[in-house]
Amino acid sequence: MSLKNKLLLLILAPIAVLCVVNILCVERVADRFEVAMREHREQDATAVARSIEGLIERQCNAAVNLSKPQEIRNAVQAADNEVLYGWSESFTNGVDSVSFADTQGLVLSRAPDEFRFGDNVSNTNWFGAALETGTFCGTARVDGFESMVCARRVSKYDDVPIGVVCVATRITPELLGRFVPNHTVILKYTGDQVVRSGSAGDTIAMSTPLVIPRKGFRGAGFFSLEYLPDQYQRQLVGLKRNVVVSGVVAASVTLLALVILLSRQIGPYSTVVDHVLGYARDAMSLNELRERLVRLRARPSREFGRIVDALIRMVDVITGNFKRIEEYNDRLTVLANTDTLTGLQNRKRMDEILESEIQRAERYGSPLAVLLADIDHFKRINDRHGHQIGDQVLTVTAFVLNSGSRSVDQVGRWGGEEFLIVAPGIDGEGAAAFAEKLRVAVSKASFPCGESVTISVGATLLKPDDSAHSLVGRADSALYEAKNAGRNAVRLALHC
Amino acid sequence: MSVLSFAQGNAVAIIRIVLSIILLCSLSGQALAGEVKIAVFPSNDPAKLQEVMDVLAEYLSEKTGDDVTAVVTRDYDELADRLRNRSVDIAWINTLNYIRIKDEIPSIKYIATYMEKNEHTGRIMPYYQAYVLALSNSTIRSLDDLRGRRFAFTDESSTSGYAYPALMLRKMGIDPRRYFRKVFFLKQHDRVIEALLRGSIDGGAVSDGTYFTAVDRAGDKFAILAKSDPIPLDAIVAPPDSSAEFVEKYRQALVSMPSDHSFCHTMKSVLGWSAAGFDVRGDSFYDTAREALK
Repeated sequence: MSLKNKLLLLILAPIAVLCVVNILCVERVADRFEVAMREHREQDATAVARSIEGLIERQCNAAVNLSKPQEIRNAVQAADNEVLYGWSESFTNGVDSVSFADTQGLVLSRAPDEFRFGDNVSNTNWFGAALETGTFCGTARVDGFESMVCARRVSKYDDVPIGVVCVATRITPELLGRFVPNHTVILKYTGDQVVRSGSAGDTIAMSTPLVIPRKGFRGAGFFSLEYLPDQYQRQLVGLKRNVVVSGVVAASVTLLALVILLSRQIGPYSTVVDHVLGYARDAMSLNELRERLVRLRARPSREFGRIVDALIRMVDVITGNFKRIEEYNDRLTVLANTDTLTGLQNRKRMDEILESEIQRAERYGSPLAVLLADIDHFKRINDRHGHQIGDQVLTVTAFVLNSGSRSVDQVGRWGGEEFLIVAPGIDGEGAAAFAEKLRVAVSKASFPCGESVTISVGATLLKPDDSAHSLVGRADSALYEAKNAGRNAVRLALHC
Repeated sequence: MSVLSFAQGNAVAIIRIVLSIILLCSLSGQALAGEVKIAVFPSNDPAKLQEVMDVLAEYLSEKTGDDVTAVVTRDYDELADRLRNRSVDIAWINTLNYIRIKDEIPSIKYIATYMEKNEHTGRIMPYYQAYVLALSNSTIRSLDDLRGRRFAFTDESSTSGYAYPALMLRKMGIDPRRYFRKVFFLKQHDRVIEALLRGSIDGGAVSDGTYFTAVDRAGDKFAILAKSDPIPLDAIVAPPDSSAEFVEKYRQALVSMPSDHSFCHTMKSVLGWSAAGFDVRGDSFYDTAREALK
């Protein structure tokens, strides 16, 4: 894995882990809260049901208490409105109406609306049920309003019905509001109309039916509970969302920033590495590398610039070294090929030259002449004047021979006092003339020994199938002849 | 011998005499200090009756020097009871119950008869009437129209709220229990008016005073379907063993009340009764009622 990817992973992994842990923690809290909310709501539901039951209980007790006293029974039979109203009045606390009716359904008294009576309620379900079965407990229409009703039969002698007493409370938002513990719980009654304890403008978090546990409760409609989202729940949901969103955003931003940053910061280093490796693999030259490094230098980071600068300097140093090596190489080559004393090419070099010139002459079919020159009586000069003078004689001779040659000719020191000249493109006549020219030049030159110095020259031409050895051998033979001829002479060997 | 030494010498005897006098006086049922309780029957809102009776009690206190207090009984039965057991000294009782109680306790002492000013004639009389009313904007024009309808009396012990109207209906061949769909008892005359106005009943029996007050208060919304014979007005009585002096003292006090006394004004303003003082007519005055209610 590349450094970039490693870094990416290294930085993102903890962030991802953190985010996941955060989300899980918040989830867990939210879950626990949810459970607590549900329990709380169940408690609320129980409380509401109990509250409603409380009202029903009170109403039924009132109805029972109003159906028993003898004075009331007498008053019902006698249609004594005043006595009935007086009794009813003391039971109107917390309920909306208490009314008495005879067995025909004619209302005998009504509280608290004292003077409204004499109407007929025989067509209501509660009246019929109470008269027949003795009690009615449930929801019904009383005076045109849907109400919680408790009605009881009034009898004389406990079995002869003489009327019905009805205790009712209207189902209004205010009534429903009395049953709920707080404003986040809405009690809803669905009958002919829908009545709610509070406004349901906000979204409903949950809605459950509410069962009135009282036995025999006959509801024309039904109750249900609606829960407004708790403010803490809402905050928690918001928090959850925020954590997730912020986690994702943080991770994405970090990822993006990292990618950008890494690309910008680390990328160049990778590029540098690539370039250097490329050079190491021989895929590019040192100059190319230098060019690319120079181009990279324009990147922002100072540190990177310094690295690149360093690399460039290194490349320069290497390049310099290479150049120096080349130069040394060249010089070494030259040294290896040069006779130190005379400055002429040495024997080894002349061997090489011979080979290459022979090859060339044979390839192009051009003539080639070889001259072998030997200083006459050199030993004698050496003995007479000393080695130092001898050396100087050699040097001067070399100089003369060199000066007397063309640029294409190769002049070299062949032996102690022997010199080889390879002259390409010269035929027999030319060779003889050339050799003669050289002899004359040497004989005319002034030497530090004071006496005249002469050379003997043997020359030959290249023949087909000649090797360097045979060629020089023939030149040597010619030289021998020249020496035998009295020295300071030129002899040409044209045949074997 | 000085008074002081005489007293000292006979202290015990003097104390004995004083105690005996006190005992005798209390046995006679009347405290030496003159505390007198007057009770009235509940023909109307008890609070209003109390207010009015307090004024009467004050007047009587002034006139007689006794400490007179008024009490409103729960119903006619209580009033009769208290007369029987002497827990009141004077009772203002309506005609019907006077007749009944006089029949039961003949020795009850008649003091005076209450009088009213007749709104119709302007004359002060010890008579009044019972009216049967309906709302003038209803379809009911006569007693015939009340058949099968809802009717209200005040109280079975009420003279004008029940006895005379029932008698009147019977004379016309109407048996209230069968004729009407339902007969309510509303106890107080004003409640009959209110129920009528609210449409809870179709016809009702009230005193003429109640009618006139209702017209004053609510406007002429009523149709008089029938009027009864003149009814003797309430009697003021005392329990059987009240002394003659006591009876005479209070008789004089009542009768000497001018017809425009503040008591009468209060009666009018609070109860709507056109009170106009008291007159002595005697027990025989009520014979017509006895006849009618036989």
